[in-house]
Amino acid sequence: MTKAFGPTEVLHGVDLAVGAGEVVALVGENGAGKSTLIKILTGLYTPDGGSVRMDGAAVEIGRPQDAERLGIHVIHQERHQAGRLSVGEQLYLGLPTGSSAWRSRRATARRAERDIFEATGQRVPGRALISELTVAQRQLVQITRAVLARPRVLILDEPTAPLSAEEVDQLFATLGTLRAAGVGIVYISHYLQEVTRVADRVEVLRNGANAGSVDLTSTSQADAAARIVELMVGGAVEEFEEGVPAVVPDTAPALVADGVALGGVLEPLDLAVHPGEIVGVTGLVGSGVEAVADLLTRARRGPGTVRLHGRRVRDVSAFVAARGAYVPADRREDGVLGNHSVAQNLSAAMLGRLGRWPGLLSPSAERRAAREMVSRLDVRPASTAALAGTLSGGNQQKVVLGRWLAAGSTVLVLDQPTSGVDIASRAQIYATLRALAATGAALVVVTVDLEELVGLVDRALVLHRGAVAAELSRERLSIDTVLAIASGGKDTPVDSGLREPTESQEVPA
Amino acid sequence: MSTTASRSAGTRLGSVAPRLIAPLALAVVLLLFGALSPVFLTGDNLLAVLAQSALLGIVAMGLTFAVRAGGIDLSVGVALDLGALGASGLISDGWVPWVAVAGGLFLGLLVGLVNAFLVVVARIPPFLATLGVWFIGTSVQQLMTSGGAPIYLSASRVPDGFAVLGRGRVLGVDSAVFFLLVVVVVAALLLGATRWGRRLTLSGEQARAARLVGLHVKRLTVSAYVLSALVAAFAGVLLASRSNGFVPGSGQGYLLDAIGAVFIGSTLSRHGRASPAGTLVGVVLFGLLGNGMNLMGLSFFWQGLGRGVILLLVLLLGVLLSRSRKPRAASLPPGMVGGLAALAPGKATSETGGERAASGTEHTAPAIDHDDAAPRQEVPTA
Amino acid sequence: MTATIAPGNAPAARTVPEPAVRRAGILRWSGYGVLLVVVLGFSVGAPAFLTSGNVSTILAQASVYAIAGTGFTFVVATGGDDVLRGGIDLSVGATAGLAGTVVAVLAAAGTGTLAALAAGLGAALAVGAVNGAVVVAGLRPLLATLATMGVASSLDLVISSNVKTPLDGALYDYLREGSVAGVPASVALLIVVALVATWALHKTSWGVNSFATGDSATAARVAGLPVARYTWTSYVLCSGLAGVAGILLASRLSASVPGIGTQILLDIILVSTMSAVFSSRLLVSVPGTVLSAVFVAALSNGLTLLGVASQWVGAAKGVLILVVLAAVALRGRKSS
Repeated sequence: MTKAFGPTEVLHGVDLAVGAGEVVALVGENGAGKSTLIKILTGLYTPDGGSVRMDGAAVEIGRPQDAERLGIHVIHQERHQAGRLSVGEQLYLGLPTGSSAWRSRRATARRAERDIFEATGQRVPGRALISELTVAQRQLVQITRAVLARPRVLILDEPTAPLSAEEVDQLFATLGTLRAAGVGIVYISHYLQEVTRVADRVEVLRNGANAGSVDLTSTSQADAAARIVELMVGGAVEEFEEGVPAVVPDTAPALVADGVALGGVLEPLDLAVHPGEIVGVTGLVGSGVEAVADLLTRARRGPGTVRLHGRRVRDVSAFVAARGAYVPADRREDGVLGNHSVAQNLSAAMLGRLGRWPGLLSPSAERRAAREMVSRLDVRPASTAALAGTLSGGNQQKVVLGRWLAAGSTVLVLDQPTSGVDIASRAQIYATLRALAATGAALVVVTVDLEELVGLVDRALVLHRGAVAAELSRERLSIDTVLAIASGGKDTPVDSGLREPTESQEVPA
Repeated sequence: MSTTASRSAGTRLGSVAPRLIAPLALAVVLLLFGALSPVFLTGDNLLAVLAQSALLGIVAMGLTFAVRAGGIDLSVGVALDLGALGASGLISDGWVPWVAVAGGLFLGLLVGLVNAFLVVVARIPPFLATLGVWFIGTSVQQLMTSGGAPIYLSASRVPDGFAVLGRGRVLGVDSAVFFLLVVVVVAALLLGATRWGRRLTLSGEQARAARLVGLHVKRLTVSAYVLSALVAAFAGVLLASRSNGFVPGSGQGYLLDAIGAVFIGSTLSRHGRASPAGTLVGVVLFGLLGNGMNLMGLSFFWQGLGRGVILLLVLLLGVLLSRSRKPRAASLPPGMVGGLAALAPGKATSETGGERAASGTEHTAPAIDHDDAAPRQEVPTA
Repeated sequence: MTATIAPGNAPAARTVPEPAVRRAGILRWSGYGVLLVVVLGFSVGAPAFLTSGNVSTILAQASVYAIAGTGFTFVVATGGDDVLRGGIDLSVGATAGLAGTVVAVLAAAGTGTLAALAAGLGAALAVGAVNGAVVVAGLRPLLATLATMGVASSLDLVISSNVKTPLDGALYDYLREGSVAGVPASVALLIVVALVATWALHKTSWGVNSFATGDSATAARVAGLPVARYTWTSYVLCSGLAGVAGILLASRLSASVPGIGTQILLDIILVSTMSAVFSSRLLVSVPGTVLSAVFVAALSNGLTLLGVASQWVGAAKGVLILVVLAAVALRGRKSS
């Protein structure tokens, strides 16, 4: 019933059609255009061209309220819910619900439970606080709220990332209920195994255009998954400079993580990184990969131990003191010191070494060191006094990296090192990282950028739903393989070494 | 996709304008009262203003440390009072001056330690923690003076060593002014030239980032609160010396003005940071304002009103003007269509417990509405 | 185009879900427990404690703080207890004092009761409007209300010329000494205010929306709530109720006392903050605030009956606020 056809500089003539009671999956890599398309459909963006039609008639969607009035609702990844409200209160928040003059908590709770059950077929305790619910339950509240508005089309954005296997089943049951009620569903996800289970049809986007669609009613799941990956990745994968595999000397590992875990998110993980090695860690969102960097650097405490050069490290300051370096994922909040100059950023990890007199800081020494680093890393603009917050993402990241170079770190943990970084800076950063490894530093790169992973690391751990699903050596590292393993192909054994490819990993390139 | 920072001429003006408010206010005050009163701009008068503002200035310097550390200290009045109380009490009991000073400072140290414990260990928000200490401190004063009795030191019994602290002259200037200048210089050096100062500033602004760089944020915070209280206690000792005794609750009057001065001072900074120099400007502004109104015959109460209104206006203007500044990080990638603010206009570094818990696994979500940017992270590239 | 397998640029490690505020089992009743213990302790130690006359006195003493505290509760509920954004109104005390002063000065000048009351409340509401506007404009509530506190207390001193102004009049005398169906007039007023406020904040969707705004402004916006309007309204309500409390206080004292605002500020903050202890969700509530006000009044009363010197009472209140803060912080953190 809905059709969108919209070219912008980001989307080039994308078509999407959803019928009542149909589940259409929207699949594509990051940057393929999925989010933009959804934003157009929900009124956050205005398309430069093309149209959206409902029931054959063209419609105007200028603001989110328009989309909602037309019956297009989104279940976002980020559940903006107030934790201390009860289920009932959050569900009906801001919705006109008849008499507001007298609200009985019990009545609201009972009504909420009933509405949720009707909408999704699941039971959620109506008096519980939002903060007490599991993520899956919160999602049900989200979905019910959308259903109460009698949607024609429901868009789910990465709904299963934080869910367990049973919860996924429950969600699919809910979707079944919705389908039967004639709601058209757009299902955005990277979990290809799930997509092939639940969808009628899969639309693949690549580079802002339709790459093709796969009809699941006529293809087997396995074949469909293969075809989808093929369409997603496409033939032309960007040229990536192959690094020279590191020669790992027979020395003791620089970083040893033993049983590092986080309850409910990451199973105990063991990792040993030798000087000169670059080890990658990857996985889909929800696989626990987001917690790995924090745990390895002890920014987040938990079970298990971490040793740097043999010394046990219990918190971040100890990690840094032991010559560790942490380049965190959230560059803006945790990495770059935005309200300080470039020079001050560069010196932040080595303040102890910047002055002749004890306790005092030598601004000239700081500036000198900064100028050196700025030119070495080609930070632009080449000013040591500029506020770091005004630099582009790529240059900011270079500054963050430079801080650790200046401090002489020998073990580096980098989380999404080139996200939001332009291509030129990216190349420079990779060169720097490789040079670091060549001088004997041990690097751990946590990343969801598969090209980066494949091109940069010597070996990679692939996580799936909290556990290591496979460890791949350089020879077996390819985007398709990693994608397949991370998406939870059948028969993925938990590897701790390197072995022959199994059946599910033989995906045509 | 590359993200580049974009700057326009308007932005540049927007980033300078807030910094001009305080100097502008100062200029207005000088011109206005200079015109209205012939005595205002004389050297003697200006020096007198400085002397009257000296104690406030010292307290405000201490407060600057706490604010620099990312918190606030509402108990400076208590520290001041306890400093005055300790010193007066010890003098009246016949102790030598340095013991009295040490005693007063020691009480201040205790206040600082309590604050530090509450903020760092008990993790109570600084505002509430120091508010509580303020409350308790007032009671403690009552207890220690058996119900609020002031301590009067008869001039003859006060040793010279003590009297000179508050009422003497050093190098030709009022000793209070001398000490103010010493404190300002020391504070400026500590914050601007030492590693400790740099580390404190880093932790105060971005505690998480500072922690990840290996800084001991907790220890730095403790030091800030201890210093804040110590400096305020020192001001109290000077006050006891100046007024020959101790009157309970005299510290209360300093709090509002000290906070005002510190925050007015922070509008001066390019980074929006509290600084000794900025705080001094704020103190001088208040001092001149009060003095000018005095010379015009306005009663004490009108002065309070004037100070409050000026503070409100300066802060408000500062906030309004800095909202027109571009956000600190990169702007939208080219090609994005639609009225969508990609970044939150301010730091959203803390959330309520509820919000944090409810978010679950976050990803860069599309911003929810046009007017307010919900996500703190960058917009997904397409 | 790079191949990535996850949407978004930087899934920050912070995205790993953190545990929630759980309804801590036994601690949930700790507030009531302490209350019970104290009341029992006093009634054992001082037989006069639980007489109807004394209870009446306690309630009357609590009324001013309870009413002002209720207003404060609106601000905290709508603003949230976040460190930076958090809803707080430091000007409540000064506003109460101001309202009392305006009424007293006008009454002494011969203005009719109705006009005097209107002027007093009007002044209070004006302060609230300014507070709300400034906070909505973006200034931190802490700073904004600190500044308006200065302005309001100065106005108080200016209008009264720093002189204690006697307040005479039928209404004021009635508020001080009169009674309704055996209940002191001030307590009756408290009951009315408490009932209306409880209904508004806890029984209407407006109330839920206010709490939602305080808990997560983003969630509120997503739900379509006008956050700015709710915020502004909460400050106006707070100052308005502060005005009522101030007039009540002046009636009880038979005079407006300049500077009394600063004295009652901490008590008002105490009772509103304590309110959270009585809630399973660690949220402030009107009943919680009223209960806290009664508790604090009972505490002072009981200690006095037991012969404890007044400065110890002050110290006890101070310790109480810290214990409450620690308990709230502990419960909030217990699950993290």
